[in-house]
Amino acid sequence: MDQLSQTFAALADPTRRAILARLAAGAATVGDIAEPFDISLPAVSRHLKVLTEAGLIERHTEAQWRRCELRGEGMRAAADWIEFYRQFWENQLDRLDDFLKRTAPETTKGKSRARHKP
Amino acid sequence: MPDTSLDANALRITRTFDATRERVFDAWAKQDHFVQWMCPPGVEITVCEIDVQPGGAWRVGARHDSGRVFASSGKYVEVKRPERLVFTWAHHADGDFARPRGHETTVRIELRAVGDKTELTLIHGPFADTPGMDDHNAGWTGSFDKLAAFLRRAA
Repeated sequence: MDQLSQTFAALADPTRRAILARLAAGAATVGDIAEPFDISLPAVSRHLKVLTEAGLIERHTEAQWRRCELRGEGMRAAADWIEFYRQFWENQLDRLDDFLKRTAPETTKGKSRARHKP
Repeated sequence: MPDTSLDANALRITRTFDATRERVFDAWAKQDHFVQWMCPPGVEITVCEIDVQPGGAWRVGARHDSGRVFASSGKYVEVKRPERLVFTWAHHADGDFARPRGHETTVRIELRAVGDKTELTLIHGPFADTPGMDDHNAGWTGSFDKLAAFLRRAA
């Protein structure tokens, strides 16, 4: 699986998105992250492993603390992908709008607005 | 201005067209219509084959003025004139149909009549039709809104 697919697959799970949202507020320990969730610590650890492999978070061990934080580049790849397609589709929908105007049947509505037919 | 937002990590764009749903749908579904608008300025379509029926394949090849070539393909998942069209989408490596396809996504087009106009909602992303996608609870969705806001700030 390519990195972007792995990133999106990791983001496809609501618990993992909630974990990311928690980490968006700042780095946290595994215990902090697990606290609001009604799931076991090992289950949280499995989610963190998926997020780490997807390049979305980083885990550090400081003394006995296992601290997690968001990794900006992993997020940016997903955000860039979405931004690329946002611009692509906005542009295409402009063109679709032009096409529909250009090919509008004469009989649609009694609009007095002059149409420039090709 | 069009409404653009992130929805559960998919791109969602809503646009209203001054045309019937049938005309908007056909612009996507009839090849001779599709080819007339599915090509940004500076890009020449070199291949356009769309077989708009469930399971039918599509492929579009294009060449940019810069010389860069693109090759995209997918399959139609749902075809329901005039209200819904769902298809998969992926780019082939190096703009070559013989090369493997990259990250596959799904594009969903929903058409809703608003008076005599048509509101089109386009959802493009990795989550469309993913099992379990509809069972998020509101809390998770709310969390994700915050994440989306974070992504926009970070981008």
